[in-house]
Amino acid sequence: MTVTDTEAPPAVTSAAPALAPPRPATGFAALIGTGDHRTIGRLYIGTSFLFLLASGVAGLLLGAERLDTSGVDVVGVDAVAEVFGIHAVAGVFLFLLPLLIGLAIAVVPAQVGARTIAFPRAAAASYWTYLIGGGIVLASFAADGGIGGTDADTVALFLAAMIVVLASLSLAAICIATTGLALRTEGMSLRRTPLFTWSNVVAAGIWLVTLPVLAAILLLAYVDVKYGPTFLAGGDQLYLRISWAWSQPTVYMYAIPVLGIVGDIVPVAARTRLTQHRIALGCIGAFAALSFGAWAMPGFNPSLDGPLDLAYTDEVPFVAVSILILLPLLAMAGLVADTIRKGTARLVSPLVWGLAALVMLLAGAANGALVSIDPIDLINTTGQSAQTHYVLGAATLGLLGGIVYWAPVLYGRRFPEGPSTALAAGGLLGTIVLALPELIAGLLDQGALLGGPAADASSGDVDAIEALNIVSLLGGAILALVALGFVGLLLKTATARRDGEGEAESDPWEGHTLEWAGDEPPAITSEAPVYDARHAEVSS
Amino acid sequence: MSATIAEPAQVPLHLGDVPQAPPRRPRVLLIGTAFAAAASVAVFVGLFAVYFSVRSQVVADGTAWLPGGATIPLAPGNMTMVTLAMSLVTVQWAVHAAANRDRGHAYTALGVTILFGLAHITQIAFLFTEWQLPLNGDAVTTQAVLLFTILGLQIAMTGAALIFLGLMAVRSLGGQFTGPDAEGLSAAALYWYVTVAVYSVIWYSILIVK
Repeated sequence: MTVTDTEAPPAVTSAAPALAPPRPATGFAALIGTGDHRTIGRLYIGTSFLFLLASGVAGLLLGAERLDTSGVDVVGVDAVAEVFGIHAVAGVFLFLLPLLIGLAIAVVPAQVGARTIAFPRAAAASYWTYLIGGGIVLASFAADGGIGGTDADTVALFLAAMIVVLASLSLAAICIATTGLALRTEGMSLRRTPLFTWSNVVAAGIWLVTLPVLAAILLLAYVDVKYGPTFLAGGDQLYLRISWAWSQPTVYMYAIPVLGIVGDIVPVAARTRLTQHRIALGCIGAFAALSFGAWAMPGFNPSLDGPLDLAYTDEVPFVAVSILILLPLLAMAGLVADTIRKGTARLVSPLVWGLAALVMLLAGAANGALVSIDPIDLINTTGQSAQTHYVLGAATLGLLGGIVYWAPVLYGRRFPEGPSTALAAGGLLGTIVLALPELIAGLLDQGALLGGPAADASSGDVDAIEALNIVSLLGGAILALVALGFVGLLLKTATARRDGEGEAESDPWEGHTLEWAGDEPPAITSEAPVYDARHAEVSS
Repeated sequence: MSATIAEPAQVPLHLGDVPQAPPRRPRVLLIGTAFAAAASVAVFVGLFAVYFSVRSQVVADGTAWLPGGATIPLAPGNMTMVTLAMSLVTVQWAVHAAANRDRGHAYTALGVTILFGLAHITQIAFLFTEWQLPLNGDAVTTQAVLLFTILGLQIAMTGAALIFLGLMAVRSLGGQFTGPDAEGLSAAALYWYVTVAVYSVIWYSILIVK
């Protein structure tokens, strides 16, 4: 028998040289490849302010154009429709909606206790698509395309780019809504969902059945412009086909998350719970349902230059929605007032922003109710523009308040309180000074689309309208200053962490919801788990 | 004689020893797909609204909806409706097979579904050549713009649904979406159902009613 002595292999004394782990990407490469929801949210927020610049400048030019109602002298007859288009399209789809989405992408996952947003790569893709699409939208305006453009190819380019922007924003909305519905932490039922998250879930639902309808109209217009035209005479009629997207009642859908922001800020500032959280959920849901307005678009006429059918403004659903939407807003305002009354409120700057937004939203809804009452005759006057400015101004104020409130979550630093409060007051003042004169001028029959006063207006009316237009332009200038000031504060806050300035504050407001919980989130037993945990510690 | 039935022995339940079921995976993909499907439907609702609005005005003027010379043959539309109806069965077969870890049937069913989808696309492309509605040149009509846009977009939606199904097939091949976690295939199937539902509206209200 042969015995084979097998020698044991020598012990491995040193590990084989392992492959070096891949170096994490840095700089721009890291930014492009990021799936971090906070980074994506910050990118959305920063980019939307860049696009605000285009909308703001166009708005100020239009305001200057109205100073003398006898002619179109500042931007010229050929360009006025395009300037109007830039103001509206960039203001709503390149600034306001992306700003809403950016804040939601950054905050909603933290509020529901999720590590990240649902489909983080899709969220990142939505941002980059929005950035490229938005750039092409503005470029097409510059190349005689867009609303009011006369070059068919660049009008088609504008339409295609707008479809891309809407698709990207819809994709982001899907990510937000799915996060709010599917990634809530254990114990967080829908009834216990923070109001900001809830408002974003319902808002995303409304956006997802409204933005695609707008995209469908744009797609039809694209095919028509590219191969026709058969019922769109170039870019001129385009404005009339898509302006429903920022008119009553659709305009309210951009303000839905504002109710959530206010609902989250107020109890924290008042150091108590929100009165009737469930009713607040219902108010936001009702407001969202009533803001669905894709049905209220002008009728399509197959002839090239047929009149636009605005018959829906006389119909019962339009009037009913316009008036009914006041009810959830008033109920929400009542809850807010009751919460402040019961608590011990601190006048912190997010509260000022939030209350300013709520007041402006109520003013916008009241303005909208006036628009819907036929004998007052505000349709196609600046009375409608006033309502749009009230509501979109309210949405902007609320969002800026949200950024101030969640700045520690977004940037690790707080906004300076004094300047932030002053800007909030300035924003409130600017919105009123911009919109109220427009409403009064609308009552004097000033046309909405730079049509000037009605043909039968007396000279006294014309003088009054021109004076009101001066005041309105002043309001626009105040808002421009507020926007510049806010961007300055935002940059300072965002760079403070990198520069090592100030102290990091993880929960400066003593927040109630999970984004303020830090590394050890409490069990979810109510809609304000962090508030519960803090009070349990105090009482024990 | 009386029989006594013994009481069954009391067996204590040691529930603490039973291993806990793993937490259910959140149905993120399914919910996201439901939202995407709703958005896709909204696009078509917008297009249908314009189509029916324009059509009703033309008909109310006393003229025929389709311009002279144009015709929509029934056969391609009907055949593709039947094809898509069969695909509803095969896609559900795929989901059921994947849920039961029956890979052979799952791949067969997915393959047949994808084949049906491709057949649908070719049949609609054939319809485009038959209906005598030019989309280029000087004779472009509103009807051509509407019909090409609606059916073209439905083809695009079918393509997206096919890509989704294909991706989920590949991922289930890797073992990711089988058994109780067949959520990916369910999501793809949901989008497929919606795609077929959209076509069924087009089939009846546009291709049949004309």
